[in-house]
Order: sequence, then C-alpha cells, then structure tokens
Amino acid sequence: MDFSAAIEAQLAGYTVRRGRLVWFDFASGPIGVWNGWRNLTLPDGRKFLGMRNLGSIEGIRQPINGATPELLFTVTGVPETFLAKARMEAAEYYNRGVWIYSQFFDADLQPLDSPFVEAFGLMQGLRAKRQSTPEGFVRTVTLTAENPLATTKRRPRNSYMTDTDQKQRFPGDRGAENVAGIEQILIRFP
Amino acid sequence: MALLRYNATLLKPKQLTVPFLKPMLVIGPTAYGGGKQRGAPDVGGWIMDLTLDIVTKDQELAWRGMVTALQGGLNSFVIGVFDDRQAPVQTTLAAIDVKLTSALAEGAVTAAVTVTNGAALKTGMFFSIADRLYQLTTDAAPVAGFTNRFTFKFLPPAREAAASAAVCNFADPTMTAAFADPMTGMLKLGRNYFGESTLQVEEAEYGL
Repeated sequence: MDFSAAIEAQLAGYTVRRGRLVWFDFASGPIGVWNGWRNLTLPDGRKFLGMRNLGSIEGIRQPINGATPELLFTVTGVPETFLAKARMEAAEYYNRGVWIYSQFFDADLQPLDSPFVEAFGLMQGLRAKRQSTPEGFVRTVTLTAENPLATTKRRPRNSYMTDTDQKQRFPGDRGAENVAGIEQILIRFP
Repeated sequence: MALLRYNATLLKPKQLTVPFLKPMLVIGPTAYGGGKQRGAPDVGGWIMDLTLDIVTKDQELAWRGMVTALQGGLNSFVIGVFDDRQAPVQTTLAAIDVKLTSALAEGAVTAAVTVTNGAALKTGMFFSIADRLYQLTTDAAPVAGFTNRFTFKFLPPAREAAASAAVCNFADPTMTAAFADPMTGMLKLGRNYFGESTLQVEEAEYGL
C-alpha cells in the first residue's frame, strides 16, 4: 500500500493521528461509526458517529495459511438506532457488507487524504446483550462478519498439485513428478 | 424540548475542577531508540467536577429537583463553567460581544470573530457557541486592516456548524453535559439541615 508523503511522515514521526471508521451497509440504510469523540463527516458526505472508544474490533489481521479470521465488532453503549437494527430481521444485515477504514488527520484534526480500506467483510451474525452493572444497564451489540472468500473453504477443490493433474493441464510436463513422497526424499549436503 | 439549565446563581460551587478535555491517547511501546509513538483518533471530550454546600432551603430544593430531573445522566442539561475570573475584560460598560465573522464548519479548529466591548482574547479562555464549550489554544491574532476582528485556534473541533454572526459566549460560557456517574448528586444532610454534594459531569452529545 502506498501512503502519501504526509501520512508516511506522520507514521515515521512521534505523533500519529489516526481513527478507525466502520461503515455498516444495513438494508434500511447504512450507519457509519468511528472511535473518535465527535461526529465526522467526510468530503464524500458520509457521516460517521463518534463512539468515544466504546467499540472494539477484532480479527483484522493478515490471513495465514489460507485461514480467514472472523471479524468481530463489539459496540458498547450503542445508540438507539444501532440497537434497533440489531433486533431486526436477518435480511437487515445478513451477507451485507461492512467496511473498515483508516483515516489519518493532520495537526488541525482535519482529514488527511481519503480513508483507505483496511478490511471488508460480509455481516453474518448480530446479537444484542444487556448487562446489569453497578452503574445500571449496559447495552452491547456484537456483530460478526466474514471475509467474502471464506465461503471458498467449504467448496471442493477443482484440481490438485499432483503429477496426474499437472500432465492433464500441460501434457508431457514433468514438473510435479516428484511431488508424491517429496517429504521422504533425503538430500545430502554437500 | 429545551434542556434544563443549571441554576448558577443559587448553586455556586465551593470547589471546582476546571473543565478538562479528557484525551483519547494511546501510547505505543518503547522503540529501540528510546522513542515512544503516541497516537489518538480525536482530542476527546470535556469533564468537570464541582463540589458545593447546600445550606438554604432554596438551594436544597433546587438541587434535589435538578438531580431527580436529570435521572442519573439519562437527561442532558446545560451548565456554566464558572470561569468569570478568566473571562475577557470588559472595555466599556456594555457587555462583551463576540460574534463569528464567517461561518464555522463542523470539525473546524479556527474561528474568525468580531469583538466589541472586550479586551484581548487569550489562550486558555473558554467560550461557547450554542451551549457547546470550546477553549482557545492560541491568542487571538488581529486581522490586518480591522481594529476589532481577530482569528484564533480552539479545541475541541467544532461539534456542529455555526452560521456567520453566531454569538460566541465568552462572558458566561456553557456546556451541554450529562452526569458522568449515575450516582452523582446524592445529598447527605447533617442534622437534616445542611450538606455538601458533588457533581461529576461530562460533555453530552445531545443534539449532535
């Protein structure tokens, strides 16, 4: 990913001003939230409600070995509209997109460049919880989302890296002849 | 519905923790070079604590009514910041009048104002626009060619947009707030006669 010179300078420096923005594409209308205090309106007109660090996001990490980690959004002390959507039919959120952006800010707290997408998922499950605390009830909404490619995990493979498959793709090719049993091959050095 | 306004005439604090912009700072680990990167998504919101004596009957009634009406922070209210001592000095008998020279966008941190009947606006002074509290982070700089126009920087970023000629309240700035703790405002009376109570308030996003 290529950052602009201004963002690169900030990342290499002492002070970083960066917020994380989340855009939920609910069927009845999208809702944007971010972890800042104030409401944020981007130049493209999208508005993100400030959650004042009440939310958390888990699962944004580089997939390894083909694993696609589940994205988990937990928002505590949610606004009424968010909770209302959480209680609606699955059609409101199921398999609809959720985007996570990073937005950098300059020294005057103004958006620096456009936000860039960190992760994208399709909403799968959404549950609301109300918990009694000494200070009263706290509402928490947890939403799970999966990488769109996650469904490929359950699909059978079209082909394999075997000698037979390779010769079917490229007749006469010997590149995969030693794949079978390769773990038992002993190579002596020097 | 209009918000309840704190009765500052009747309920003056005896002790005040001046409004403080509670930061949202995240401090990174120490690098090999000894440096620590600091980050934040935003500047945070105001918090304020006050302690006051409740002695007279009117004070007790006003206090109890207010605390009950605010329902532990469910409802927001408007409260002043008791900053008379730091307010700009009046230069005439007429009240200080500060208005925006140009419209203020949501999220802005710089304002241009016209000042009438007031002395210099200094770093650290509070002001409010439509009951949203802000604080100067630079001295007001004069605009070339004008005797009473100035610009300054402030924080937090403008919570909402304001039109040109909107009043900037420097004389008695106010904050839209809510109780930070649902149990705040409890009143214990000595001999059922007088007592002391505290308020912990934080900036509220009511209306935003």
